[in-house]
Amino acid sequence: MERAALRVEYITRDYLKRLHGNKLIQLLVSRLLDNSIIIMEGVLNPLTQSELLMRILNYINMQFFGIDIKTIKKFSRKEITIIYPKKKDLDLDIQATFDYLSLVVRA
Amino acid sequence: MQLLQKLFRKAKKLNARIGVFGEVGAGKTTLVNFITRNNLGIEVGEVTGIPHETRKIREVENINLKVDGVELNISIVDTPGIATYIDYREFMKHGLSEDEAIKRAKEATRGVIEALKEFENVDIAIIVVDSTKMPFNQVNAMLIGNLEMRKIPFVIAANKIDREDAKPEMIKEIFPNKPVVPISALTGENIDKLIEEIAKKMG
Repeated sequence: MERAALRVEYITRDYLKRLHGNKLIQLLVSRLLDNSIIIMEGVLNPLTQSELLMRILNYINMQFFGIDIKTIKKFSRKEITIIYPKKKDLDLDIQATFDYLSLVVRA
Repeated sequence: MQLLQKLFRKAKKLNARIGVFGEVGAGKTTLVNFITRNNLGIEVGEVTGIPHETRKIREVENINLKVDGVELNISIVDTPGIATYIDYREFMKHGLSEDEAIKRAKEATRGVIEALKEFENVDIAIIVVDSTKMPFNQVNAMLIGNLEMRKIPFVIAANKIDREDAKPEMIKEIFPNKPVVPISALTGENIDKLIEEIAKKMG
């Protein structure tokens, strides 16, 4: 995959069902390190979340600070989770209501 | 060996290894200091106001407490604050040089990983939350979810009730079916109640 300045990926619940544990974590780690903002249907279970966090923390350096995770309940009648990289040169602001989502990136 | 030790502790019921978890700056070390100072005359760590002051797990063993005439023997584990990201520039705002800030960020990162791994080694957990802030965030949700999925009993300590802007009732509302004890780790208010709640979890 060509390295992008910033990519937004939407992962559906059906796509998530095909990925289990380690495969899901590997996918998320690689995408987050490759500058992706991930919007996924549903929520990550807490064990997956802590495993993702432990893996991603190994990559922290002076440019990449880790990740932020936001869960939005009842967005268009479903739950969505937004996971995005926290970087020195990337400042992301998320505004969400039950039917509106805005991602403002200051790069 | 670790599993045997854990089974032994569980079998005796009144011995427990208690992990203190929470976000950065929630007051975990202040709480552990209060308990260890009152019972053993020692403190586990310094509290400075700089984020990620605790960057390694620290354990104090053989703390003997008495609740309703029953003696408890606990080990208490102070864990580094959990965060999903660590920006070294934050430390520079507290007067650290860039080199010191980068070093602290590396140590803090290792500390968070250690804290997350420590779930597996405790019998009971105290989740310390800052009652002056909105507690329903990703870190607290992840902590509670992890403990519930691992079937580790826990108590939520709604800390900093000595402050005027504390809203411990909000924490009770947000976590309605969880045991919440409003405390001040700084003044010691209600820490006896927190220990009583832990004793209940010890059976």
